[in-house]
Amino acid sequence: MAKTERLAGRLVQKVPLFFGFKPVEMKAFLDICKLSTSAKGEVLCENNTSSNRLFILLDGSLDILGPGETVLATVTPITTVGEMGFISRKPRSATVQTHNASRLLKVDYHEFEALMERYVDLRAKVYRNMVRILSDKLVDANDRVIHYRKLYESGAAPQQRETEDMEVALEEQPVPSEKGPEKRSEEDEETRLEESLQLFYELAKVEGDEAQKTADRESYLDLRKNGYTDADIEYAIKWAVRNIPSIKRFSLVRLSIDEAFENKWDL
Amino acid sequence: MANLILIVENDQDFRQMLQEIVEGIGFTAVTVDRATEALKIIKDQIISLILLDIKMPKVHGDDFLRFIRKQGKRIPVVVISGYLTPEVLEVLRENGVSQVIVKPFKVQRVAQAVIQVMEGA
Repeated sequence: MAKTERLAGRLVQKVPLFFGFKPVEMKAFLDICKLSTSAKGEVLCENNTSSNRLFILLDGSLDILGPGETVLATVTPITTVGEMGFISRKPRSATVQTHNASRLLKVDYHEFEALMERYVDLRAKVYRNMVRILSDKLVDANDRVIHYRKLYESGAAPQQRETEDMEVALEEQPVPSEKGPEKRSEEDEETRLEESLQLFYELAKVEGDEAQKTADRESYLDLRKNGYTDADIEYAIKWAVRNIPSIKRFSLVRLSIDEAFENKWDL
Repeated sequence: MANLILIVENDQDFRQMLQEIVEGIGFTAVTVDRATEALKIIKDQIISLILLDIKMPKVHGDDFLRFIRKQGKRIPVVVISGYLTPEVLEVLRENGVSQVIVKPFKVQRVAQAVIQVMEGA
């Protein structure tokens, strides 16, 4: 249970497709995912075939292959693969193959559609996130065009520079975790709770008395019980301090946490 | 007592939530679950703002509002209700309601309304 919550928290924080998902929506999404392990060299999907499955890479790495099996990119956790075709219902634009042994979550299109029928806000969030992802890719493509034009005009060899760019980009990718999600001790959880409440007191510029702090701890633990991760709560604290005028009590963070996630995209 | 906010709401969950919001932004709240109780409170205490529900047993919020205005009480009122017909809205407009918030309400919206009225008071 706690492991699933942590994974849900990581996905919402790090994977653009899931930005703005509420914990309950993320949990429902994870319920339709199938966990699988793939050996090195296994083909997950082929260019020009139907895009009926979305992959979420948890451990390992994947090669994105272009024509002639050229490696266009190697992706590392934690990331989604195949989301464009999955959402747009267009055929695959590349082949995806495991670079080494990998652990993935797989989601079937029809189950994802059924989920979006059940959670009415989810469809809007998914499409909004896709627009943002595509927009980012477009900006990135424009930057590359400008970059290559400059290289061309300066007479540098584009092929060589492209390889160098890719090496730099790959170095900047997070290193895949060998151990999987880390399990935190009770002591760590207590420290994180204290830090988050302290963050609230500092941002809201309040000094709670002992009775107030005890009530705040209970509110915090309630949020955890309801599936919110510490990262969710810290996000909600920052949102509440920014958006609820004169906030002085942590209980308002608990009361307004759904509003915080509704507005996450607007920040 | 200054900065005292009266919450008139018959639904216990909404009443507690409104109290939590009011106290969470630094004001003191006094709560009642019916209009007749509210009349006693405003007779005995200095109230800076009333958060008023409309649909309540016996005396509705709009009748309560009309009554206190006739008595010359100019206390600012923010109506928080899920029951808003054109007739009720007309009563609210005629009786100088500061703001109207539709249920289910957002914490942010209520907090903003309270602060705006209290700072403007």
